[in-house]
Amino acid sequence: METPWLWLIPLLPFLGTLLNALLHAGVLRRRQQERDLMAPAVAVPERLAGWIGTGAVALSFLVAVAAFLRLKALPVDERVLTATLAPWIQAGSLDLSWTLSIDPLNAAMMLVVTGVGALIHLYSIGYMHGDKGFCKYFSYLNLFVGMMLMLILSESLLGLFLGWEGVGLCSYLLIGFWYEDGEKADAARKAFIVNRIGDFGFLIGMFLLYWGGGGSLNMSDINAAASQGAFSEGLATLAGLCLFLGCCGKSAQIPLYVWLPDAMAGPTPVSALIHAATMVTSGIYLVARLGDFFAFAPGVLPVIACVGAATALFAATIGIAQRDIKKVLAYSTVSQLGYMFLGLGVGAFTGAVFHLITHAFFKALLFLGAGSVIHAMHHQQDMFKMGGLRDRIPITYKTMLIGAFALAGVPLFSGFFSKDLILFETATGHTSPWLLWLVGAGGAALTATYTGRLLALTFYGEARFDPQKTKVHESPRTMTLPLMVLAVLSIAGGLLGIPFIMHPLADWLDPVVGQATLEVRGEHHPAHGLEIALLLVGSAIAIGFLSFGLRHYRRSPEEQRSRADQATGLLRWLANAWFVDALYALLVTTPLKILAILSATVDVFFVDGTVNWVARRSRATGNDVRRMQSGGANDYALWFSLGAVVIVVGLLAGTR
Amino acid sequence: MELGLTANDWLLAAPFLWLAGAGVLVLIWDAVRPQPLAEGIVSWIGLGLAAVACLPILEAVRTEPVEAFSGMLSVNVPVIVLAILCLGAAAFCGIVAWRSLLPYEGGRHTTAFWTLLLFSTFGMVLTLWANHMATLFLGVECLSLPLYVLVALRRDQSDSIEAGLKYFLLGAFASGFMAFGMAMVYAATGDMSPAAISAAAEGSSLGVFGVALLLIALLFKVAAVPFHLWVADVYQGAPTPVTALMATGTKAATVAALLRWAPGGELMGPQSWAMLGCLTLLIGNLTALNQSNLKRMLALSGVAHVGILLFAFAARAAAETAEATSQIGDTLGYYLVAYGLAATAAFGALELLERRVGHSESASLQGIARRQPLLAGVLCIALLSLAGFPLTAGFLAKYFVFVEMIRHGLSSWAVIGILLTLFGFAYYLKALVTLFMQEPPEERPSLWRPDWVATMALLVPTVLSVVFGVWPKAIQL
Repeated sequence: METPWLWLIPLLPFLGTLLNALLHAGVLRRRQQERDLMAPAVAVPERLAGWIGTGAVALSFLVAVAAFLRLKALPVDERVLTATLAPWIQAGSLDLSWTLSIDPLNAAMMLVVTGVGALIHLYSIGYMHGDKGFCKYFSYLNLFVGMMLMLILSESLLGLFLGWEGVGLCSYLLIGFWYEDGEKADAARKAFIVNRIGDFGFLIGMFLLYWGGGGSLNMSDINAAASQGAFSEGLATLAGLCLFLGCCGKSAQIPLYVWLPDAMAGPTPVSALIHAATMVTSGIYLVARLGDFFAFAPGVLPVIACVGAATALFAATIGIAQRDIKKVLAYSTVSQLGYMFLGLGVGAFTGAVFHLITHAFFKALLFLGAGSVIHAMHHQQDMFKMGGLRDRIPITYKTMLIGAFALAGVPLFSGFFSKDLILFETATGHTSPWLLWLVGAGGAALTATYTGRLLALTFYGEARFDPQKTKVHESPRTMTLPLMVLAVLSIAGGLLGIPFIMHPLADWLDPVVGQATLEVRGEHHPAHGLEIALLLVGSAIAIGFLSFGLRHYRRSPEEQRSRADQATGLLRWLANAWFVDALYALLVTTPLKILAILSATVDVFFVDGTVNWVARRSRATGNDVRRMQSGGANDYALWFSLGAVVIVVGLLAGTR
Repeated sequence: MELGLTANDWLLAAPFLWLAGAGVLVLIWDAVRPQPLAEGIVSWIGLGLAAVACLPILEAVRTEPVEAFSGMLSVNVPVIVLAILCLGAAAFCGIVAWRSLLPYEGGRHTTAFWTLLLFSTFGMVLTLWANHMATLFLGVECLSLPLYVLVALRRDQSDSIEAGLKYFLLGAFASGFMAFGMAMVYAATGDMSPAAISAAAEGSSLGVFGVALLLIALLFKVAAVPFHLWVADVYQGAPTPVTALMATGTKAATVAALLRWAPGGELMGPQSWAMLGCLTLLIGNLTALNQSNLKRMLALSGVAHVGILLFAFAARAAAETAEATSQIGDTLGYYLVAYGLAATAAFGALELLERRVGHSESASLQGIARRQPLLAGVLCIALLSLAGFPLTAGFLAKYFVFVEMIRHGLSSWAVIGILLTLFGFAYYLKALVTLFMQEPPEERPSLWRPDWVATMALLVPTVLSVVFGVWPKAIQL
């Protein structure tokens, strides 16, 4: 169904970007006039920018809800809304237009992005208060939401890629938001460069899809072509792996996850929105959206499952030894994204999207809570220097507790249902089910442990800072309100799929991913006994390891601290993230640097030398030729006559 | 009284009547009651009406060329578009000259300026439309004689006088070639229409000799190497508004005449044309490379552009069908419009900048973009179009010429041509660096004040350069 107003959804945030950019330009001009470059954004623009930014995304959310309702009113088989703005590229067989299309899958994504986005915008008003780049921040954040919506809603793969690069740019800009700090600027560059590797794969995959099947970049066409067998198997596998490489970059999977922990250099709401709830899930969205294609491409889904499981476990081991509260959450995000890919890989598309949604709620909540803690502790991020915050910031504490329970998978919280759905589907899948289940369950145990550790070190025990010097205070209303809303969602999110009782999400997504699920997993065989058993095991793991983590670190934080300071043996490896960064530096960065020096030498001596030589010769010749231009009319007449003789003789000789 | 004129005769005569009528009216006005403003307005109205009179002709020639006066005049679409370009260039020359050239010596040359401008434009249009050697000769002389005077109009400046004299001497030399050539062609063939050129090519050596002389004269007028040497001195010495007129109008009229009167492939093959074009492009570019005066640099870059135009002639000599030939005619027309617009904008902006700093030496134009961002911007777009930067008309013009060459089997010459145009970027970009990226010198106080009318007029060719570069179909060739 053609629904032109869908374009409002991405255009409203873009409008916010524009207005906030203008406000920022105004602030810059005022600063220049007052010759005070460091002055914070003046009160009026700050308030205005915050509300413009939040309002734009909130309005976009309302339009998205309207679109959702319109979609829901349609019969199940016809649930697609489209909006074509204008033709884009028409070249040969390639015919692309600016088209948005909404199906049940991206409708869910769109609601998450705009809804959680609006909450995080609201939170940012409090968190970024007094920052000198306040208007700029909101301009970037709006741009991000607009680009993310382009990514989600575009009908063509190229439109998706446009959004994909757009969110990458915003991520870069926001990680390096405080770019005066060299380390933060480096983190931004790292994120950008690592993503380039993934984007390279994405582009190649896209070309292969266009070249090898039917000549269309529209995702519905690609899915249809794949189900009709338009792709050869080898090409489909290659294209699928290339696209997955892109997903590894954007969604931080092994081997390209290294940028995400460093991305925590950005403001905390940015970490919540971009690096936990939305952008990093683009890869999961892409695989789910092209589900029919991936289901057809042989060998790709098992690779995705293995990479996902390995990342889930590997990142969780690192998370257990981090001291920085945001780093813990960052590795936790990498790990949880791994679960989503594990789900995709075993054909549990619904499970992956379910976990994506619940994760968006509880991880955004945890990050915002961490932001609130950091805000309260005056930018202290080391958990060993916190402790005893439970009574000092009660709202933050209670909401974060809910988020932590959801992350650890405590029964009845949303994360419990989604994670256990993935683990159950893994155990009943076709790709070495028990090994992958074991890896996943091990990761779940570690997750519960580091979650308990985070709670214990931050909120319980004695204060390990000087309360006289550090005045801890609860955050303002704009920050606590989103926390509370997200806490409710972190509990209620489970209602999207409760085993044996209700599964609205699965029904909702069925028209999009049902075919692919059937293709990968075959007919559905109910295994109630196994499912109940796994649920019980999952509950036991979550509760057991969470309480272990809580108790262990609550009892002896000082001892843990000294151990962390010395960092010997295994702890040293964990705290340094298995030295992967150093390994990459040795294997990738150093050879590249050597190559760069070599090519620079060739450039300076050979390329530049040739070019400069040509330039010098030309100038010298120019000077010689200029002598013809003596200024004397008689010389000119002489040249004229010589030329005349040549032409006359030439023409006469030509006719003979 | 029965004049015996047909409808076509009146149709084609109309622009001439307006131009000549306006010229005579200015003279009478001056005799009765000298009034500079009125003279200017009469001239602009005359130019405007002449352009309006071209429009019905444009409609008439859409289907096939129109002849008049027993075949003495003949027009087709590109020729009319170029005629409108010449009229526009003349009007623009008047606007730019209004505040600089006309008040000169107490405004005593106003009448001379306007009448000479109108008669020179008359000559340009006649040259464009001439289909008979007599009308061609009339046209070329009528174009040149007023220009000799216009070039030398600043009587107290030696370089202006020198330029006029040189132009006159060499022009007279070339006129001799032209008249002599025509006579010989007539003697050999008994015909004075363009058909005589190909007839002479197949006949006796007397006819070939005549064709050669006519060709030499026209090559002088379009400034091809080695007949180009006058260009630098004359363009530099002439008052800049007049230079703009010469670069646009004279060039368009004479190149179009060359297209009609030059020998085709049977006498001068594509290789010879390409060689001539290559030589012109090379020498023009090399000479322009080290010029310290922007006006002189632009003059020599105009020579390089003639080189590329001659490449189109090479393609024409290789073309076999009438359709391909007319296609190349369109390409040449587009090139001349693109070059004319950019040259008008460039010389016009230079004139206005000159007024501020006193002359056009690049040393004194350093960093002028800070003080005159609009004019420098106009100059920037004009230079980019001249260099052939994408999204400007100049880029597409070059592109079309090289496509025609490749289409007619001159690929290697096309490659050489493309490589040689790279030189152009060297000096155009050097000029831009001077204008935009260098520190401006201390400014001496002057009586300079902005000329908004001329600045606004400058925007017309500038905007058109970009519009035609993005949307080439806008020129209805």
